Amino acid sequence: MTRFFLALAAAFIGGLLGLGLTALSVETPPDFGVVRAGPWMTRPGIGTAQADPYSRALMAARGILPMGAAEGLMLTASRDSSGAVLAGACTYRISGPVPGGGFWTLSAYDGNGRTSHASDLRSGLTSDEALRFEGEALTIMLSPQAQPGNWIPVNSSGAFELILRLYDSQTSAHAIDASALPRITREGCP
Amino acid sequence: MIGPIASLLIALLLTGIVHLASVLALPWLAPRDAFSRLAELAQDNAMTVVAQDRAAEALPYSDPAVATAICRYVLDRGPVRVRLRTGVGPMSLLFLRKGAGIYHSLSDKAATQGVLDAVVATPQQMEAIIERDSDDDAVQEIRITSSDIVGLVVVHALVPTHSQRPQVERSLRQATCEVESLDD
Repeated sequence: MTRFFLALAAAFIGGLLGLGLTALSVETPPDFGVVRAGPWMTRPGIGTAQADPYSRALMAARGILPMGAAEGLMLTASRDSSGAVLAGACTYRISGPVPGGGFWTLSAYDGNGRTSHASDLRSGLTSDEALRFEGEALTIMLSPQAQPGNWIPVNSSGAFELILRLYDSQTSAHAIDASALPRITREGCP
Repeated sequence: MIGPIASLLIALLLTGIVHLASVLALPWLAPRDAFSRLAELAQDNAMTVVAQDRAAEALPYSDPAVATAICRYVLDRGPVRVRLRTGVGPMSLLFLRKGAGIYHSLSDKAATQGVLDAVVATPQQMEAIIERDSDDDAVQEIRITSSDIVGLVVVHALVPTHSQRPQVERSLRQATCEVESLDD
């Protein structure tokens, strides 16, 4: 009889551990299938029926709609090019090439996936809105304080995430390379 | 004989099975996944343009530079046709099913003469559609087979600059999503 209860207890603990592991994999998703390039990362196949089970569970649990495969490529950054977490209080310079040659948008989000804009300020930038200066690489500033040129305002409290969406892009998620993507450099913190 | 080693093995085995099963089942069981959130904003077999603040509220990490229209298709009375004119910026159509997520997507590159024309049908309805095809006319519409009766079509239209949003939303309002009869 004790043996039976021992087996039952083992099964119960196993079941709990299994559920715990699933909760953990949604909270801090494993890197299976993730492609990284500098500060940017993407999950290939996420917007298709062939998405891997972990990416799919993650999207379902968080209620996120990924980009469709025909729609383009989505690149996420939660750290700068030196590996430090993006902090809303700091000012960042995003500079460099944007691959694909097509339409793109860059948006900043808080930890809950809300665009971190205050009132009527814009919460992102599109390729048509971005100002370019001759002979200079495209530069976008992210800061809680107003900046000259291309500026995306962010909420000064907490961390934030960036999403660069390449629309109509034929760029393969596996072919992205850090040198073909913008760098994220911290300019200063109060 | 169930000793400590056997108990450990049972626990490990169950950890693995329960973990794998729950990861695989999550997209079907998650009550607040993107499908459920979008379905709340949609009407059956009719296109609804969603205001930007409502879309941003409903879906985390949505692109603020996108205008959205949604249609919940129900194929019990026949296939559903989705038609829209391409606009100023890139446009795409996403086809979603509960659990499967985005099972198909189209960009406006698939449009003919500025019109994206797609038909969603069950496998049985699709057979009937193909049977009625004449050999002479090339098929213009894009055909998508849905293994579920119910699903979502999401239209994403990019707003190139903030001031163009009213224009993009106006053109999205022309988009249609309607049941088609297979009888005539």
